Amino acid sequence: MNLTVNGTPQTLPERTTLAELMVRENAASRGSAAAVNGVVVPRGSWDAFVLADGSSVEVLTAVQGG
Amino acid sequence: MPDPFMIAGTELGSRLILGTGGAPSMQVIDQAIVASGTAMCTVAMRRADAATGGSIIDVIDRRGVRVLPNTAGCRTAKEAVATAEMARELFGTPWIKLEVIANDDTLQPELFGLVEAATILVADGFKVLPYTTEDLSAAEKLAGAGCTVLMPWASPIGSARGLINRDGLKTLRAYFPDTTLIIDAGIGAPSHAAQAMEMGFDAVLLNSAVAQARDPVAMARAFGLAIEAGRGAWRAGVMARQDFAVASTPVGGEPVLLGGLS
Repeated sequence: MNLTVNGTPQTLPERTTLAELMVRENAASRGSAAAVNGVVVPRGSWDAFVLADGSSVEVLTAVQGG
Repeated sequence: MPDPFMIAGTELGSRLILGTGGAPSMQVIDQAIVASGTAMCTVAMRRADAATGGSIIDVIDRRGVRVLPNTAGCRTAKEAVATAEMARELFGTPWIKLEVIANDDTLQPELFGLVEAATILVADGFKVLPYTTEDLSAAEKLAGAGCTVLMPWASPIGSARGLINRDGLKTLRAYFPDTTLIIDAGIGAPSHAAQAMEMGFDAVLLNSAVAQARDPVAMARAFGLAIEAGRGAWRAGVMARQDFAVASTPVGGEPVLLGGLS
C-alpha cells in the first residue's frame, strides 16, 4: 500500500501497524508522537492501529526549543 | 521564610525557566541545566528525522527537570491547538507554552488567535502558559479564559533588548497582583532578568541569552544568581526613587571647624 510519512511517499506491506511504522522510522522511543490523517493516535493504540492505503502519517519528535 | 514558586498547584524549585533552542550541544544543555538551577525547560516538536542524534528528552529526564512543550511556529489558533494536542501525547504533560505568532519580523504574539486557542485548550484540560504582550485587555481575556499564568514578553524573541516597556509591565504587574506572571522573551543579560524580578514578576523564561553566550554554562549560572538576587530584592522592598540627594550620614551635630590646613 502507498501512504505518505512526513510528506514523503512510501510503500509499505499491507496491514502494517502504526507501531511497526514507528519502529521503522526509528521513532518508537519516548519523545515521539504520531498523527494519522491529522488525528493524534495515542501511543497505547499504536499496536492495534492498522494503517490504510492512502493515509498521511506525521511522525513527530522532541527537539530543542525556546 | 519560604517563598515557593507554584504553577498549577505544582511547586518548582527555581524561578528560572530555561529554553533549550539553539544551544550548541546536548552536553551544553545538560551542564546549563545544572549551572542555572532551573527546574523546567522548554522544548519543541518537529517532524522526526532518523539522522537526528541525541534526544533532548534524555537530557531532561536525566536531570529530573520538568518539561514545558511549546507551540512555536504556529500562526493560527487551529495550528496551535493541534500542536498542543500532539505535545500532550508526546511529552505526557498537559502543560503548554502557548505561542501564536503574528509575523516573522517581531515574532510578536497574535493576541486574537492566542485567546481563541487558550480558550479551547483550557476547556480541554490543558494548563496553558500563554506567551503574550503587556497588553492589559489581552491579559484580561486570557485570564478570563482560565489561564492562571501569563507570560508577557520583555522585548521581541532573541532581541536581547531587555524590558523595553517597563511602565507597561509595571502596570500589568499591578493590575494582576495574584496572577503568576513570567517574563518570557527578549532577555539578553542577567541584569534584565534581575530587573524583572525586582519589579515583582514571578519568574523569567529565557533561552537565547544562554544559548548564544560565549560560555553558555557560565551564563546559565549568572542568570540563576541574578534571578535569585532580583527575587530577594523584591521581597526585601526596594527603596523609592528620589529626585534629589538625601544624605545618608546624619545632618545634625556636625562639629564647627575652621577648615583648611595651617
